[in-house]
Amino acid sequence: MNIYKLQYTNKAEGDADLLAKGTYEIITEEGVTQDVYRNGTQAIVYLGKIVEVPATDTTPPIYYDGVFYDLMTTEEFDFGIHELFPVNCVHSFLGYEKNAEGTDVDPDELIIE
Amino acid sequence: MSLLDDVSIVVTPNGYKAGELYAVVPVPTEGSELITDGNFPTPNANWTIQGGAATTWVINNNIATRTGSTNWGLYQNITRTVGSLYKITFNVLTYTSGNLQVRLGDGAANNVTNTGSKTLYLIWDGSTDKFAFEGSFIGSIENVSVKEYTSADMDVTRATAATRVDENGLVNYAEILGGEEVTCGDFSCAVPTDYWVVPDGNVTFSSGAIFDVDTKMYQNNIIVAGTVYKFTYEITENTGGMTFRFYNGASYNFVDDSVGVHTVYFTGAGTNHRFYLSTLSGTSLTLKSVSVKEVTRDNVPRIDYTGGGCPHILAEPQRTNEITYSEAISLSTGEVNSGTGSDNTATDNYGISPNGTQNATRLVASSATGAGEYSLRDFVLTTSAAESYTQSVYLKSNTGSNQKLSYYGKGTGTRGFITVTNEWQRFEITGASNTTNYFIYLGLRPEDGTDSSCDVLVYGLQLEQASYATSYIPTSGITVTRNQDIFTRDGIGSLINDSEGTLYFEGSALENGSSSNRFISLSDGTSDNLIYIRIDSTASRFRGFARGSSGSYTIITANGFPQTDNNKIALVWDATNFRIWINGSERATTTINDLPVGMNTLNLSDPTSSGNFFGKVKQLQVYTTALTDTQLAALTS
Repeated sequence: MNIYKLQYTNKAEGDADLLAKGTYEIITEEGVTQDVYRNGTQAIVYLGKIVEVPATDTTPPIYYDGVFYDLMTTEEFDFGIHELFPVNCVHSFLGYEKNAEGTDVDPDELIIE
Repeated sequence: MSLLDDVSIVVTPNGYKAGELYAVVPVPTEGSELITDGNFPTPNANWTIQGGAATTWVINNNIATRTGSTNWGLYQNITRTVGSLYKITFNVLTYTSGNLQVRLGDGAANNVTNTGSKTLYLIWDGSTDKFAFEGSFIGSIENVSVKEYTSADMDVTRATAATRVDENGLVNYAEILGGEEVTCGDFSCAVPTDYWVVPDGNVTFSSGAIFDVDTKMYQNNIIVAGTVYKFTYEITENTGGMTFRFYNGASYNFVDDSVGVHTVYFTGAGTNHRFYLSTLSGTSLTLKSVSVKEVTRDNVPRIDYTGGGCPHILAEPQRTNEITYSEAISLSTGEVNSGTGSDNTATDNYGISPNGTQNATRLVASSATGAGEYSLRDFVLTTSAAESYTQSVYLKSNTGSNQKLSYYGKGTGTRGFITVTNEWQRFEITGASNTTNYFIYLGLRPEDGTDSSCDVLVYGLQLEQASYATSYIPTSGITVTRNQDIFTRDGIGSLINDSEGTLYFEGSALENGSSSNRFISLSDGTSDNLIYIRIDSTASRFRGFARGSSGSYTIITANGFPQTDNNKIALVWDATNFRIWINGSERATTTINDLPVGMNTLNLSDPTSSGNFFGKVKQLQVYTTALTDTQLAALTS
């Protein structure tokens, strides 16, 4: 299983790149449109903006540039400059380690109940 | 005549393994052997080597060996049925390099890249009748067998863990546990040191394993890198604050050293395969028992007992829990008070939670009672767009008496109160964010009818960007996503009768009406030939669709049945009619346009794997006959 952590300038750019790479397709049936995962895609998670500095009572939050996605797939892709390798992620998949990314990631290393 | 005389597929909440939900009917069966000389006798008389004698496949002494990289194949022509599933077994004796491609006809190949006994399942696509080994493989194989395999066990894909309510009413992960890896885990065997290695001799065995300070013991051949394990241990005494840790094959991990039963999930690493237990500092620690079992959670279907009674198969969409600490409520929420004397305290890991362990948070609060006065815990999610959100939380009284609490969020309508009882209940509220935030409030607000003081247990706080709640997604520090459940079964052409039949479903959808249609389908894997139930995007509407040979759709519609109710629905087709029965009566009928041809696939989605069904499945049945009205009335009542 592969998990990619991706950054784009905005959602339109991210959606277009993921669509162009065949990770999903847009299907319209009787006027109802839906995104359907294709070609090994297990999940696309749109994280949106990520807060760098939280808001306070007097100041709004400061965000990292752009918007972010997590992609889980059985396939390998080259996302070029859009792929990130963060060390303190804000999102994970249930059962996978916090900073899982790249190829052949394993489930969570340690969960204490 | 019994209905069971004609049923060819029955799927119920029954047996399962990782990636597979077992069908009750049919019992899996294997046909006769289709390969001649699968044991590669000499001289070879039945295997064809592409390219003739000068090629790189050599058959000798019951072994077929490929020695060169020229891309020639080894094959036999065998008799098969289009759309049927075949079980292929063989042993890879040696492997040097490359892909061993195993192929039926011109269909997609399965690649094998290592040694060992192999079992593959492939569907014949109706092209060439070859069964072939191809690819760049360098190595040798033996004992080849190909048999038609009849089963309606459904493939399950989710690729993440997921929780469900088990038969005891506990919220836990759907998982498959392997056998015990540790020997003498309760230390009651005659000579524990026959199994446990104690390098420094500072562990003694008497009603458990008693550790001195800074010591360790281990067993060999336990840990395999990449395998996930469930490690359960019970500490009965800890003197002097001794710390306790285990070794996952590559590094030590400190774990709970308090008296009690504890469970840790970890992934094996390294290459020495040892499982160590070790103590540091303190005076003495007594370990009563240790268990290590392999565990699988990804793709495990969920037999869910929510609501009690008979279980159902749970199929849910992808969801993310936006709460970063779903169980450590003191970390995920803040204290907000108004009015003199208003105050609250959240104490994590205080009580027994719905998952059976001590990880529920205690919330004790008191509030002033005037207008605009409250004592609440709040969670605020920063958003950048207005969206629907659903919040959920488990609550239970910690006093033995019912308590009235305030629980609301942004855009959830008029505030009121909820009644928290002595039983764990999950409270769900759907609301909407604005363009900057969504918030959750939990606690006391007497002006809304709540008590002025409370003492409750809290567990499993969850916030999903959606219009309804799904199963609990545990988090611990960051947001977490559970993937969608997908159920499919192809290669079952022999179990579906194109010319007449009945497709029966009992269950409920997760929402009444939706942004998309949801399907339960029989098909040939395309939209050209199909019979399907459509749980319509319009609330309280079910539709039946039939199509044959890319002709026009035959459509029937039934309105007035809330999709979130438990409904019993049957689609019935024959050469003349197409009918839909729901809950004991025929609801619509029409003349069928074209009969489908070559149906061999059953999906909880449409034939092209869009429009996934998300809901609770109690029964799924396929009949090879168009049931009579009497039978349909009995089946759907």
